[in-house]
Amino acid sequence: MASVPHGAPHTTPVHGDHAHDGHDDHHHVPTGLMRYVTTTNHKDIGSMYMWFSFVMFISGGIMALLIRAELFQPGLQILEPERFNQLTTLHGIVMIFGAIMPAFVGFANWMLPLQLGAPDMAFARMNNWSFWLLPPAAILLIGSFFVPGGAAAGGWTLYPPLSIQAGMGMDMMIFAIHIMGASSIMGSINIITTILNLRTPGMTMMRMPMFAWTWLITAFLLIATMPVLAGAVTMLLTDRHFGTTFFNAAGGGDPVMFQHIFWFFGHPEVYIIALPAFGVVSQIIPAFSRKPLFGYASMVYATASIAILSFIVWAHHMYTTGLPMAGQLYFMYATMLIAVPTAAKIFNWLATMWRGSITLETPMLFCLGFLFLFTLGGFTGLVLSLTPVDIQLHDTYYVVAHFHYVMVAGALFSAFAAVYYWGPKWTGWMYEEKLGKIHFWWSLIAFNITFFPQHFLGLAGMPRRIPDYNMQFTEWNMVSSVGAFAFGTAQIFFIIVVLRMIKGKSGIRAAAKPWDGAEGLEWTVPSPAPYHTFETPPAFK
Amino acid sequence: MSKQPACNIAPSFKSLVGRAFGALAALSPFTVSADWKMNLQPANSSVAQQMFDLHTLITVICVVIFVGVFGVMFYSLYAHRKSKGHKAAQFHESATVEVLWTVIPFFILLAMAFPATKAVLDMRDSSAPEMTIKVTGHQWKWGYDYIHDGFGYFSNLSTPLAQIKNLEKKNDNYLLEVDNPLVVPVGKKVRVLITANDVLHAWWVPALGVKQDAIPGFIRDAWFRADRPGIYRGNCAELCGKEHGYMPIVVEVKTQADYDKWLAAQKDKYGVGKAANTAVAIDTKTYTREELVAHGKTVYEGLGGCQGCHQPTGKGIAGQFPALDGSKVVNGPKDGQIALLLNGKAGTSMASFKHLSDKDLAGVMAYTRSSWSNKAADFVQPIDFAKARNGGVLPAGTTAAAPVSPEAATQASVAAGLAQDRINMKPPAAITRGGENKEARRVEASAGASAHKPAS
Repeated sequence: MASVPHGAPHTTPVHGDHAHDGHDDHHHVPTGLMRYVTTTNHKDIGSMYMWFSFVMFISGGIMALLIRAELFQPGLQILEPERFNQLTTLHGIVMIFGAIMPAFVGFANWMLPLQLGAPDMAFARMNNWSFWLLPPAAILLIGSFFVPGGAAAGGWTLYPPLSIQAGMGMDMMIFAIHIMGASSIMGSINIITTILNLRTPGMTMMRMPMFAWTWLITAFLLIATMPVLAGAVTMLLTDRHFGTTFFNAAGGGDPVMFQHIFWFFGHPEVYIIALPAFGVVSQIIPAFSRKPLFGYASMVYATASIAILSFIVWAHHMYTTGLPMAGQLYFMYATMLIAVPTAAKIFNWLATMWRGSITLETPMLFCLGFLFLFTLGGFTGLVLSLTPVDIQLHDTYYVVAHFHYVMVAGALFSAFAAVYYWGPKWTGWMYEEKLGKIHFWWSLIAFNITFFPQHFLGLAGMPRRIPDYNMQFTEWNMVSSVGAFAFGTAQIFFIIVVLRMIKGKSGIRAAAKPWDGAEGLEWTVPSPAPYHTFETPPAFK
Repeated sequence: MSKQPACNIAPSFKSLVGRAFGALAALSPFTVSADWKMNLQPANSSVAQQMFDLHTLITVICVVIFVGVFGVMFYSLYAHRKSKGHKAAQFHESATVEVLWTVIPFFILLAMAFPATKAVLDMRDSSAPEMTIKVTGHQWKWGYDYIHDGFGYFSNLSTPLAQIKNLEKKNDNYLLEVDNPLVVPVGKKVRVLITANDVLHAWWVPALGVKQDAIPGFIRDAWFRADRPGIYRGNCAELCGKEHGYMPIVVEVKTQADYDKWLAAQKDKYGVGKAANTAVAIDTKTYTREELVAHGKTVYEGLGGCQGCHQPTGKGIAGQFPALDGSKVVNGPKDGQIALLLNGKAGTSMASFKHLSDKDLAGVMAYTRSSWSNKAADFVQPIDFAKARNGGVLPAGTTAAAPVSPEAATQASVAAGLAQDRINMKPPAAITRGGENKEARRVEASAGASAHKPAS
């Protein structure tokens, strides 16, 4: 996460003979702001993605805490209903598009060239452009709170006709989605090209690190679905301003068509978030079990199966729209089927740990937290896949609990694991183990206090996206709000841990390979990784 | 249900800690505690019961698998630790176990799919209903039309604003209470035809096992057969704008005898029963401006009143709801405001309010034209609205206190249902025939008023 220090490491040749001509020019690095505006270096760009992600994570987190503060007790205390709806909407969009996706793109930028033995990403300048599209999108999103009518308030799913009624905040949201989509597509093209073309000689596809595999598949998902979302929001835009009636029955359109298009993007999006997380976990669990990943090939196939299945289950988000009965049954069966490859992955991770030689450093703890909680989220997903049960639980807090188990425990916990696992490679310093462990336990407990009770709220009948509720829901809401504030402060603690790692407060310099069980080319370069690595392809056993 | 005043943080938080221990003892999804509810509401229909049982079954299966799988993980964490001197084995594949843990989950899923399929088939069989009610979602209230009995009405949240703003103690049914509940007889197969007037809503009554999105321009159906009389409460379950949290659903299930009594009283009230001819009359009285302003204030600030959007200050919400204070429409020609109140404005949240009485509408006009900085000279009498409803003239033969046809009365009460001038709801039999459900079928575009005639 750190900006890479320059100087000392550059004087140390990394691989082979660096005394060739032009070497000095190559090491001339712009400084200050212009370094980051003009950079084409995958490490700089990776770091920027991560810092951007963290800023958005905190912004979305503040929104979540305002929501939880309002929901601490019945009645309206601090937010008007309209503002509440704006916060739930922006919380979703900011966390998904601003926090989680850029975090994993950041990891990909930093680690894929290092893992594949490539000097940089395939399209270095496009990489710069992919990143610098994001801040304008973020400004549109956050800025929309301050325009007349406020931010979009129709939920992150943007369902018309409600989103057609909204003010200009909705247009800003639509443009932000266009921009972020363009960024994602360019990033994906870059990742696919890098993985397919820049592997070091000898690294066949089936010998790539799992993180590269999951990102390769994720990038294809992104290219397939982002244009679909862009199309959906463009139709919203023309319905809003140019008199089209795609989603208006009065003109021959259909509001439900939007939902089909949206979820054709939206369901693969879940796996766009989850698959890179699976990749991170597949790197870390073998490292701390000191044992190779169990069933590498079946992991690859399971990942691909999940990705393919993700395209044919979208309408399980729409059981209550009045799908025909055959549609309800088909989408129920298809959705249940996803449990099979997902279960295979869980079993593979367990088998990797089985009879290993396990140590529980912070990255491993976060992976175990991921395994435990993501599986729980997977089971509630199975519950929700059953149409009759979903009829009761759709649009309730049960669903809110379910997708936070998948998104927070799934994606966020594995992102934390990645920061602790690769952080020493980025900064050249070890983090402080004790603080990392505190961060883990604090997050784990607070997360469960926040979200586990939401299952009960949903079962008892509390709808989501409401600012006020009947008193029968008071107790669990109070527990959940207390947990949310504890979880929020844990992330302030996290940034302190990271800043102390960057400043070297632990006093322990990271070795080239700080984890004795870790595998991969990224551990063959010094820590911190020099500004330029693998200028000549490394040997791969 | 909690009896505590929820605005009182300190005591409820104190008891929260105390009761947390009680809740821990009861930490099972099958324990229903009064305050710390953890499970689905008790079912009051066969469909809801199937949903309840299916949820219980799958939760048990999931918990058992979860405990089994993570039992293995925790054992491994305990036994295979480096600190215990465990040396790592180096195996990394086994086709046998991989096939096993792909095939076994598949069969477990098959076992789950069987009862789920059965429940879906039952849930979607809305054939041969014993009565049919049309439900229309509006921002932010529900409209119920008893389409075979020729009347309908709106159902608004009845929780006072003072309770929402924490100025009064909240009652037990806070936010789950309405002025006019949906009333149905016990034990009858009731089919609900669900649509919406403006944006998506969803009609949800947990105890009856019904949740169906209300989609403007389309009609979907669902059904229930209530097992026991009682009052069952639910919420709108699809985000529908600012007051999404404030449009509850209340269904009152009565015994057949009580239902018949209620039905007769409603028919009288809405002028469709035997006593119809004395029920509704056009208000031809001339009121003073002060009288209308005073009446209009109660409408403006009342249930489902204008202040919900335009605010008590008349300032609206910038970018969302226009200000009435200084508004060109309110201070302009009276015909413009009459038309807006009667017809609403397409593409905005401004709905038609023609279901209100002539006097209510005239009152609102007088009030808005006399409040805040507005000082419009002219105002209108109720009879002006009666004329405007009928193309500018009083209905033929109307005299003071003259009876109004059942159609007109019905029309007034269901006025805002659907995108009306485009949608003609076919008689129910044409939408769902026997067991072959085609509930997503598009309805034809034609004149709309016929939809509200008694179908029989």
